[in-house]
Amino acid sequence: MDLLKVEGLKAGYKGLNVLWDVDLSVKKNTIVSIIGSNGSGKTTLLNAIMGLVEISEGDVVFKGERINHLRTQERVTLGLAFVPSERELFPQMSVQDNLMLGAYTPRARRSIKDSLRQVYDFFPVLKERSNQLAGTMSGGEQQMLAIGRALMSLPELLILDELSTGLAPAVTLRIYRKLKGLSERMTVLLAEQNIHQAFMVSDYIYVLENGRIIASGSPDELSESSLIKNAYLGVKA
Amino acid sequence: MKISLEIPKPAVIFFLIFALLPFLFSNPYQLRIMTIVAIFSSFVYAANIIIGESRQLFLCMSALAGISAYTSAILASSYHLNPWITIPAGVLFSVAVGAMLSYVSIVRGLGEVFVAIVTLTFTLIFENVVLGLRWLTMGETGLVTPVLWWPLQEILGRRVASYYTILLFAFFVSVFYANFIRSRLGIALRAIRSDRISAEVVGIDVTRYNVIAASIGSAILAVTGSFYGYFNGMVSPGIFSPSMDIIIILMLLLGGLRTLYGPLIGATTIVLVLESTRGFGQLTLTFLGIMLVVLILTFREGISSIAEKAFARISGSEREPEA
Amino acid sequence: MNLDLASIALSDLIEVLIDGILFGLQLSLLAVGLVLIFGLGGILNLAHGEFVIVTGVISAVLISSGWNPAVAILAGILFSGILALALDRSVLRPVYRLEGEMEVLVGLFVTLGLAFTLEGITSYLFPGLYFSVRVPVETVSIFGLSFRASALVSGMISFLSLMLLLLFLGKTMTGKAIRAALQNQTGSKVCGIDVDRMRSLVFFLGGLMAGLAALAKGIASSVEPGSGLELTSYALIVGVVGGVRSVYGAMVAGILLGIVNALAGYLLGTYLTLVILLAIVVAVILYKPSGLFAGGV
Ligand SMILES: Nc1ncnc2c1ncn2[C@@H]1O[C@H](COP(=O)(O)OP(=O)(O)OP(=O)(O)O)[C@@H](O)[C@H]1O
Ligand SMILES: [Mg+2]
Repeated sequence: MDLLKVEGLKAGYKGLNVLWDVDLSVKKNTIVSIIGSNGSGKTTLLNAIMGLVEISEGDVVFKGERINHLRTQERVTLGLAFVPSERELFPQMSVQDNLMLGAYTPRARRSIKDSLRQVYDFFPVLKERSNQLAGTMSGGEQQMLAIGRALMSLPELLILDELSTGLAPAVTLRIYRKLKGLSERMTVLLAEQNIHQAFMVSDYIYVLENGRIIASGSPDELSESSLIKNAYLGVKA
Repeated sequence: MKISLEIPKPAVIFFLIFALLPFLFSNPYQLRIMTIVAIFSSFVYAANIIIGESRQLFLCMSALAGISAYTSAILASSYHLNPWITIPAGVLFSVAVGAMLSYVSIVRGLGEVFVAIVTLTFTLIFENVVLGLRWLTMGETGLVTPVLWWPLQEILGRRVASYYTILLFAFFVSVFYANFIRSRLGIALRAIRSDRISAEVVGIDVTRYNVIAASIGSAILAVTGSFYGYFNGMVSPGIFSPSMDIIIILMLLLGGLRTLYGPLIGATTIVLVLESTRGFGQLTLTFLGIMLVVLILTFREGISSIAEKAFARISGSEREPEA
Repeated sequence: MNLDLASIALSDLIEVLIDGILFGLQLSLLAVGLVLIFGLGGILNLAHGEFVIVTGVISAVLISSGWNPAVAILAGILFSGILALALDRSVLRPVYRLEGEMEVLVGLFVTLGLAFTLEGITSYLFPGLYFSVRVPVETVSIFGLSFRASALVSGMISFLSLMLLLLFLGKTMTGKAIRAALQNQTGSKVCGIDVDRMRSLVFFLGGLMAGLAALAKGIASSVEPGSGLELTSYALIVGVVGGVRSVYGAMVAGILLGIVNALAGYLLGTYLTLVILLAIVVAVILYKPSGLFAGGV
């Protein structure tokens, strides 16, 4: 079943359209990646799904419901969670408060203690630093906090923009492993620069170029495609 | 460089009509209202230059007018000088203060909002200094101004003579504004408004032009303020109070920011509204408040942007509309 | 104005200092609402002082028509909260649709217009009315120092109100959500926080705080129609010195300015005092526009 479906999406900024006729679907319990070069529109696509960028045409359907008209916070209440590439933390609040606010929706608030423990287990650094102000954390720590905060809402679909920014490769790898482990419960949509990692963890991949999907398929299928080989995987593959 | 002085025809017509008014309305009350319209249109032209053209949100126009009025009146009465000699001294003082406020805010990189707060604070300081220096200013009661000789007063009588002097000055100010916006300075300010960074890059000295604009505006405020004091026979904190700034801004908004005739239309309308609601006492404030809210939310263009297009078609003098 | 420092007794100085702190607490209470609303609404609410007046007017009218004073004052405070909320939901809506500097500017003028509107209505309908709450005891002496009882009670009410506000903002989920919205709107939305709702809530809170400030002021002195803009300028002074977005900053700045006010008043006389306070504002804006104690909500 498609947990998220994007159909014929056209979106962009004032006077500048960025995405053209984008179709995409995310099946339950899978990890789906969007890859594409800088400026191809990955962030815009995720923002449009989250309601942070206005949609001019097309539909976003989540759990069978059209959510175009919903505001971001309502989409979050429905079970979407988002880690923006800019992280968007609350710099002058403690790590713990940042995490607690991740569980702001009524549904998440009920199991706030459990979720907090799980996030702390997953990122022990956050537990050590639970009273530190978020704004004073290092870049990588902030990224962990942003992911932790998103997990706190017990999302059905976790959307990550540039997971690997600022993180040590080993940490990224660990998070990816964990995400794969989690995928019994959680579905993940990623925008990734790091093609190799995307190929490693994803069940399905979309290739975005100049605001259009130019190819899609499972990692195996795509690595067969000469187009992708040349353009993205480089000589090595 | 060719110097050509533009005298906009509609302004001439407008002021001719105003000059003829005393033949129709000659009782002291009517003359007083007409004089106040003339005074405030000069104030609004000054606001149009400072707030409109150079985008410095000065909420101290009352104080700048007041400084000059007080200085001139105090000097004239303490040293028994002819007020025509002390007016320039007052104007100089106001210009220095206006230029300093402008220079400091630009150099410190204050945004419009902070400029508004600093200048508003300055207005409050002015008010309190005037209230406090009782021995010099007579505090709240106000200071009776020495008698100013108005040109032709022997023939026309003091009331009419003061009206014509003040009206003539307002006419001069409107002609000045028409030429100002076409001058090098006006064009530079327009460039700064539309894109400050590029203006700086092409070598426009932003600080200098803004300070000059503030100084010119201050000078107009100062001369008008002094006339206001002598016309009124008295200067007091009640006359040059912060609400005067609000009234000027209301007039500017109603007439239309950065328009040639907006100040005339705005000043006339608001003075008439204020006069006709005088019977409602404190509710006048409420009318002003509601007008301000409605104007700023629905009508930021102002009446005269519509009227000006019509005028322009008649007179053939056009001004590029601005985004 | 005879400045003979040697003759100033230490006990006098302590009394002045404590007086200053008590008055400063009032100032803080007056300013926190302004600061909260600016932080989230992006609106420098020049009608803030009118909220104080409105509470005073409503309470005084209700008391004089026979209501129990406590209930009347409570109703007055609540009314200011609701008025603030109503303004947020109506006339200020179009302002939020603007962006950046334009939003702030238009907001400035709209609230100025509202201030005039309210000031006109209250002074027209209730000329000569004033709200003041009498404390049965005149003076209290502690350790040989004597204080006006009304100033003490007023200071205590201000202090309690401020502490309650801090507790609410610091400990409850809703309070945290408000601070979150103050710090990062996108981040808040992503957490499922309805920023518009938080803004309305902040207006309501700001109105309540102004109402409580009316109570504190009514106890220490009196509240009367026509002085709204003056109160707003006091709130602005405190807000600017503290950092216009910082609640803590407003609290500290209020107390500090209260002390400056009392000391200057004691040493130099009242009229110069306000000039000094205003000069401090100008100095702060010029040397540290973000406020002396900015940072931290
Ligand atoms: N706020 C904005 N206003 C106008 N244009 C924007 C805005 N944000 C992004 N764009 C433009 O939209 C296009 C797509 O940007 P987007 O951020 O979606 O790319 P991306 O695929 O996420 O790139 P990257 O890999 O660098 O993160 C770019 O050309 C960018 O310049
Ligand atoms: Mg991106």
